[in-house]
Amino acid sequence: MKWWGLPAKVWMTCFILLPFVWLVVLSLQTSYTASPPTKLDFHQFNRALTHPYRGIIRDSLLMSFAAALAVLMISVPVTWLISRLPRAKRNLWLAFFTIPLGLNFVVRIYAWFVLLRPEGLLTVFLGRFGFAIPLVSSQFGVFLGLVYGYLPVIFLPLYSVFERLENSHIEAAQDLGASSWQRWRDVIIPETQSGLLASFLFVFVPMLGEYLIPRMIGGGLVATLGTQIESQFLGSGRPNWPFGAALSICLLLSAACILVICFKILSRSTAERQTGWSISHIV
Amino acid sequence: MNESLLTLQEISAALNGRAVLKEVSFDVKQGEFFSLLGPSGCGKTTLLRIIAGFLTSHSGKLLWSGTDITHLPPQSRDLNLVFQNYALFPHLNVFENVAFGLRMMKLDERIIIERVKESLALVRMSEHALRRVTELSGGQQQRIALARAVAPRPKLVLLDEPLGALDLQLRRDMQVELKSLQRQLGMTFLYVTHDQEEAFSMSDRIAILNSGQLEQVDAPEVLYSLPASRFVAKFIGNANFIPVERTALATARCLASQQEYSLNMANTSLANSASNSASNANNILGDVLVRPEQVELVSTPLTNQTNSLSGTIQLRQFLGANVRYHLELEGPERRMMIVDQPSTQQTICQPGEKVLMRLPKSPLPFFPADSAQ
Repeated sequence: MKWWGLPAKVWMTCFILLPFVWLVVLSLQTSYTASPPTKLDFHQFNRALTHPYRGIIRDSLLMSFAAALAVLMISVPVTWLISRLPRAKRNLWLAFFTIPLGLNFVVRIYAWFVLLRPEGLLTVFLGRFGFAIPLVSSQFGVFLGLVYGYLPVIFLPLYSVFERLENSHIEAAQDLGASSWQRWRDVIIPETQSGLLASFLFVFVPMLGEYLIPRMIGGGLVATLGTQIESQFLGSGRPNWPFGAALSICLLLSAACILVICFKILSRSTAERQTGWSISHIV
Repeated sequence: MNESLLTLQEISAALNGRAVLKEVSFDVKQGEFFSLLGPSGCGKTTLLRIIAGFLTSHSGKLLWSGTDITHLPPQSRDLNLVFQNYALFPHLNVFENVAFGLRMMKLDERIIIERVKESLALVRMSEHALRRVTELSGGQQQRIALARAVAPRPKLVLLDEPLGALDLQLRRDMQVELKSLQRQLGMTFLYVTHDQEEAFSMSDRIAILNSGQLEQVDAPEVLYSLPASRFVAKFIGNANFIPVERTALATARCLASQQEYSLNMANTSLANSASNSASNANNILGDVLVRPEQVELVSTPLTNQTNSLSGTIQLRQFLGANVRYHLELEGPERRMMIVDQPSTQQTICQPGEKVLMRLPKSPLPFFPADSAQ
């Protein structure tokens, strides 16, 4: 490593490693008042993994997973189409879809909240068709909010994944007799799967820690991991930093677990594709 | 062999408002090695994409053994394309790349394995079946792309400058291999290239395309000895044009030496030229085509030789089998000529030397001056 690697090392140590160590130490304390820590134990983790927090963690994982999947499903066709446009037209469309990123997040979510209110446009509209579902202060509302909030975020990474896919590969598949969905199943998805997974995680992980959307749309009635952590640190009631730290570490670990699982599945499916079908017949 | 497999009927195409193909018509016959030859930007790639089905022609028809396939999507056409950049699937190994087309046909696993093995053996890549395609060299990737295209046994294989990225020696080896492979399989190959040597070394017939227009479709020998236009004459091999005045239907007088030559009337450009029908008696100015190796150099300048011209040697190049002389013709225009003499010949002429060029007695192609270029 040359000397210019030094700033990065210093940065990593000061702003990532040390705070993380501090977080771990914090989470092992019985109460915030005892400082410096006298006794370290797993009391906070015990609490985090029992009722009601265990349910909250599970629900947060499920909801973030579902919302990230929905974001992916919505953005894949759109970014795909944009990536296949003539170069000159691509940037315009891309700008259209990423302009929301330039707007304040709170403003965007509030605008969405206005639509979701009982007297909001979307609720009234859905009610006309017999779908009278409460969209604020509900899990579903928070889900919609997450999807809306993170759509512009996934756009650029996903676009760059598809943009790199060579048209000739798709044409080759078509030339060899692959129908439209066979091209997706056998060429487009397998060739871009690592990029798709990275884009998915790119929205899934921040969704897991999201507290603004559950706060504003959930109206305090939908408890998520993010809101719990926030209230432990900044809450108006009795802040409990050690417990907040423990919850944060739970969030971090579950995100890491999912990351590892995803990559395991991915590398196994790639290995299978490379050799699975053919190895026994040839050798 | 004579059954026509693919017929193009007045295919026209435009890209961004610019015409790239102008009423191109030709036939590709069952089992032949057919090449589409032309300089870059002549529209040959566009034509190939129309045949493969990735582009739709502006007007005109595409017939497949007589049935109209103009609007058939690529996946429904019984032809496979070898891409210029090979377009192998990086997520699949060699075996699965070759098996791709067969899997799309939903064949039995046993048959798929059989056919893949067979195709890999054809291109001598059997031992690489389980490698990743990204680990292969350019030449090996090229073979896999070829094996992938022939594995589903299509009636027609399209090849889009497949040897373009290979070095010269490998390219020459692959030319021989491609040709023998095509013979062996009995498949029809349609080969697109800008390299005339490549097209000549493999093709049964060649179509020459120039800025979207078809110039000539013929066997290589015919293209070389009887080019239909000045473009074809210049594009294929080296061409010397000697200014003449046509005096009768089959004779011309050289403007420099006032000597008479016999003309080749099989030449289509002359047969089609409007001036031909107007009057045979009228003298027409133009050029006759002489290939470099048709000329014999005589170093002792004698006058009054029949069918000969005098000139001065400007440059001599040793090319191995041949010695190439660049000469300046005597006369007001001082035209340059290229003459190839076998290097086994004893007489060696030096630059500056005055020599006599003896032209062949056989009839020469004539191009009237008004046929542009």
